[in-house]
Amino acid sequence: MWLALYTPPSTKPSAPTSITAPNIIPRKLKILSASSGGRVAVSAEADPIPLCLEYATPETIPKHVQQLFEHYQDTKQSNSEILFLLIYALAVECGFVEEHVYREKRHLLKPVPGISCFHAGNVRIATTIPPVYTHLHSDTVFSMQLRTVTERQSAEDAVVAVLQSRLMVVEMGDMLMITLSPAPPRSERGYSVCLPISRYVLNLQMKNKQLFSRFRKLDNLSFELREKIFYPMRVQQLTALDVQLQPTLLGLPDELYPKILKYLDRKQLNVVAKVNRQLNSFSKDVKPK
Amino acid sequence: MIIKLESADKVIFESDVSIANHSETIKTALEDLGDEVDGSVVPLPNVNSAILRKVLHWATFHKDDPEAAEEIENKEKRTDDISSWDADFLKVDQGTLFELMLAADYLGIKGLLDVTCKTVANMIKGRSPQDIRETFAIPNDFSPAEEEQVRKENEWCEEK
Repeated sequence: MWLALYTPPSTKPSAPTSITAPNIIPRKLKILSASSGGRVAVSAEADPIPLCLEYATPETIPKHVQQLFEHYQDTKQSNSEILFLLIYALAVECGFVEEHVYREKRHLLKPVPGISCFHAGNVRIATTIPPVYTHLHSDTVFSMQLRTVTERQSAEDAVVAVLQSRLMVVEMGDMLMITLSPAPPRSERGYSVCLPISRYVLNLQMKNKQLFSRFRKLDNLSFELREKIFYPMRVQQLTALDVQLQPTLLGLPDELYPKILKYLDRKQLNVVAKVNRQLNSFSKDVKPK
Repeated sequence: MIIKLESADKVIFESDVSIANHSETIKTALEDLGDEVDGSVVPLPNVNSAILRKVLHWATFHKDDPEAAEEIENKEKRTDDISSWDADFLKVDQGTLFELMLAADYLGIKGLLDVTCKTVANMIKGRSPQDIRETFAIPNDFSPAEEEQVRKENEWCEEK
């Protein structure tokens, strides 16, 4: 059980022991319960705390995000550094872990199959210690090395090289340029996205309010980063390791292809046939003889 | 009656039996348990907690849907009949969309499997082969000779 593995970070006696008021239920879960007339989809011991950043609100954030930010509560960060840490929290949800944290905690991290990426236990373990990252150019550039957790936890150099990537975040005015690239010497493509800092981290810090009360639109942040950076990188790595089952159009079990292609007419199937060998063969299977 | 479902990453979800029964896999597991359903936990080792949460959200909204009737042959190709709630629910990144499809397949939830397949079909419709490659990050692995052959084969079909 992940609960057993989770040890709460030590808090000073004066600090509040629980950041989240237990009676606050995230908006989305409330709707869920109301429409079903009962307790539904509330995780372990009716925990009202959201599982992922996607469902975070200014009142509640997931435990692993809370745990990550507790490492920094005695220091003041710029908004771009705060957003960089949020991006790291999302990387962890997508199956990435900072390289030093990975080395420290690898015996506790559970393997993650190709068709999945989120692991509730791993996100907690990965945030028990702070990630190592570099600040450059008076805190306008942040960079860290990531390791992807998959089913193959081999220490072979070739496998390790595939699973390493570098996350680099550059502040340019209100914009943050986020880039994830394969670690050298691998020469596959990297992925990047540019996001406005003020969309996600409010400038004002209200007194007696938790840092995370300034976070906004985390569902949109999750979507942008998953779609444009973390998902394509993970797929690129799984493909390089020859993992067959993946959450991609080429990685599905064979029996699912007819279920998708049956919605296409003959003309559209002809287009699909021209995409690549695999789709060519599946499109032939569903064409009317 | 409330039952407990355990995701691959060991998070326990509580769900009403009437909702969980949308899944053929869970229904079968519960039938096997017989009278011992109360308090027992159904393990779902192929679905992680983030995805199971979404699946239960979907099943809760669709709990009063009639049993999926066998589709009529000529209606099969329609993909413009996705409800606005489902369309909104599936405004997710591509990885999550395929994870939901795989979960629906494993759990045997026909309604969710159909709507995820339709959504992917809609991402293919109206696009050129190159657009499809870009959308789904697919490398072109045809040799020039094969490409020429494939082009001919599929033109021939179009004229027929």
